[in-house]
Amino acid sequence: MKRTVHLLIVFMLLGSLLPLAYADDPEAPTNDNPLEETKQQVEIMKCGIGSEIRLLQLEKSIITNIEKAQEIILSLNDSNINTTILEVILLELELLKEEVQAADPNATDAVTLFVDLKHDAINLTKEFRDSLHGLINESTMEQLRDRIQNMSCNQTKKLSSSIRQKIRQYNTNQFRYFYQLFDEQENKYINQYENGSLTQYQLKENITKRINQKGEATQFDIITSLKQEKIQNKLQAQSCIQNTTEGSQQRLEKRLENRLMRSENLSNTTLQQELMKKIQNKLNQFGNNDNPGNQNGNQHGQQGTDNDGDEKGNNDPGEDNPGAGGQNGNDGPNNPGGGGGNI
Amino acid sequence: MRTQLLALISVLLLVFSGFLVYHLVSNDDVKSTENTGSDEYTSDLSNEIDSFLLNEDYEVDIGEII
Repeated sequence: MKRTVHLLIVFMLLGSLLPLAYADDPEAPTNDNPLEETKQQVEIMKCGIGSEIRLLQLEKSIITNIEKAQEIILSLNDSNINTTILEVILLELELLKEEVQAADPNATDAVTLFVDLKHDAINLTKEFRDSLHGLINESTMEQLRDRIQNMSCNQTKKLSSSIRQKIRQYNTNQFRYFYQLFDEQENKYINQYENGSLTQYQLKENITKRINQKGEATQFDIITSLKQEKIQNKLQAQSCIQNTTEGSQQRLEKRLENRLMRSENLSNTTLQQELMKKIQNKLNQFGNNDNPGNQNGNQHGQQGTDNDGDEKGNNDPGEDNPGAGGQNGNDGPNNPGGGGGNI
Repeated sequence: MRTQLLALISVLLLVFSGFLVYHLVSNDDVKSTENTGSDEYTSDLSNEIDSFLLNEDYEVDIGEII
């Protein structure tokens, strides 16, 4: 009997721990969910400068992967491995890079464009990774990883500096908006931040201090306005993402047709033919799988013939960097500083 | 003995229910709007401001090539 009582007590105690397990960090980062990540990324795209930042960041990621892919191909060529399949994917990645560079951040469909191009970049990267895995064994893979890990991507250095500058401009607009929330203008500090003599953290501390000096009612009002604004931005991003799912298959078809056309101008005839064949195959699959019910599906799951699935696979860089501020920045409601033309 | 066991189970159930109710009620959102202490405001405000700013080192993740 005593044993039963003890067992009962143990079960009760264990049961009481269940809520703790479920209550654990409801707002944990959502990096495992690419759609959620994209949603956060498009939150800043309601103004031109936000769109510009995201497109530049996408371009940088594509260029980084292109440079790594080139290095991998060079290395495999040294080992006399046939890399045609990889070179064809690399060629398509380069065409994609040009599409990102040509994208207009001020266009009304900038969000759709970003989502589509990012989707293609993820798929081509995955395609390259999978093809590479089929060509070499694990030990060669490790050697290649070591080789490209220490690589510095020259082309991205200039791009990184441009992105930093744009982000500083974007954050300046946001800081102006914060000061306006409590009817103050602090051009001195904002200018210092803009020219780099004050850090983002220092300016943020200044704003927090100023708000804390206000009465509790004002503090409450400010926090409430910020929260409301954040919710509105999230809803808007959600709606934008939903809009991108409509007609995604037709848009992919158009992009492929456009790529096919541009690939006709490529110089390397063998690779050009292989690439055209690859794109044509994808387009043919559209004809075979033409199912209208599929056309409004999930953005990350139904864009035609590409390999979707988990999409990014491994080694995702973290979305958040708490020490340096949030990632999913939203523009303030009035975007006081302007910065770039609103969409 | 049976009565004692029943009493013990009742007490434990009571504690468990109290614990559950506490967890349901004391979530972050409720805290942030009800508690007007300066520290909570500062931390909440700082988080809110962060969520409106961009990190210069952030990268759009398209996956690794290898």
